[in-house]
Amino acid sequence: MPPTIPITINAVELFDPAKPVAESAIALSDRILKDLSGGVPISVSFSGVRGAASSYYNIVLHRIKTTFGVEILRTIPARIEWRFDSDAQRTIFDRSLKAILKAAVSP
Amino acid sequence: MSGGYFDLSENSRMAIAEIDFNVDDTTQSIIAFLKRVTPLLVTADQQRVIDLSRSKYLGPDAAALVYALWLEGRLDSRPCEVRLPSEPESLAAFCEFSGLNHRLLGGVPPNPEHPESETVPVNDFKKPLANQAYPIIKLIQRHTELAKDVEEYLYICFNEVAQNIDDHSGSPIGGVSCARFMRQRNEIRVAIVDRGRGITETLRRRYNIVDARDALSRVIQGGHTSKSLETNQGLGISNMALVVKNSGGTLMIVSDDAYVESRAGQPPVVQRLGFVFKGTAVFFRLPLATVP
Repeated sequence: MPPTIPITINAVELFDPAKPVAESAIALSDRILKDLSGGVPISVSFSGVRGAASSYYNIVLHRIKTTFGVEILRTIPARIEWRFDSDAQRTIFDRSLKAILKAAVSP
Repeated sequence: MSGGYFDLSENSRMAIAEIDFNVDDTTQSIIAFLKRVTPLLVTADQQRVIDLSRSKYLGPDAAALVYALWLEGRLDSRPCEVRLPSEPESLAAFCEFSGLNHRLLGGVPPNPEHPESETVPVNDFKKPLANQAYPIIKLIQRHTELAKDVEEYLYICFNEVAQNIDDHSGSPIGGVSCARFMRQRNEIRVAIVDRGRGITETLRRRYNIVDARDALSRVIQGGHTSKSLETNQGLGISNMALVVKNSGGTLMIVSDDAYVESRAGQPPVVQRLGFVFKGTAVFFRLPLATVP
């Protein structure tokens, strides 16, 4: 059986810099939740996204966790691949992810 | 920094905080400024005046603080008169380009595109936009090349602070910002001020906070949040501190009766302020990487 090709989501296409960051986070997570429901792996690229601080990733990760459970964020091999534009972007994301995984263990 | 006065005598109809020293974005000058103006803010019936006319230098940190205090007074129907300096020429220009003349004295709006302007004018915001820091990016790009990673650092730092104000502070004025490009040092200085409940009171909703130093230490460390929103993880200030540290910048945060200072490569130091600053003021500097 050939490997399933992941669906790619470009976060920048759902990111409106002229709106509060929460709105873009909700738009992205809506799309992620929809595609994850289809059962195929997804790849989320943050390339081109500017201005995403922790609240952006917190909302995205929180909504995924709430809908699918925290395990989907730590499953290996991952059902969600995260791709970043910079080390700083990855660092901020990783800290949000770590905090959400930790909160799931000891809320 | 000596001299000056604060006239709060019973017979005086005016309470005047005279700033007769330079507020040049250093920790000492910011604390001295706050110490001078704080008694003014609790006066009851007197006309309140912040007199900056004898200062010879004001930076973006001073501009943001002055505008925040002025704005708060206006909202409280207790206007605060601000006397701005008219000399030296460079300081008069700063008062123009920073928007202080316009906002406080009704002068003409500054032209941020002016070739000599190295300042993003004071601005207040309630619901921060993702690109709230864009005018700062634009300012830097007008004067020098801006590396992509520095642009990212700037956005992250600004938005972490702005989002904290929106999520937690309850600041009646929202947030106030000002920024200045320092050509000789090749750095950007950013000030973001609110007049909300402060970090100590915010964290006390969930933790047994000893004092303001304890509260500041916790937010710098990260992982402590009041959960104003379900999605909050308590990472904003610690993210900013990490980014500032990794980029070789400096950071100062004042909140309640404490301040924290973080210099390049040094661990943050939290100290007692000695008086209470209502709200939170964040000042950071980022070096602008040279593009090869």
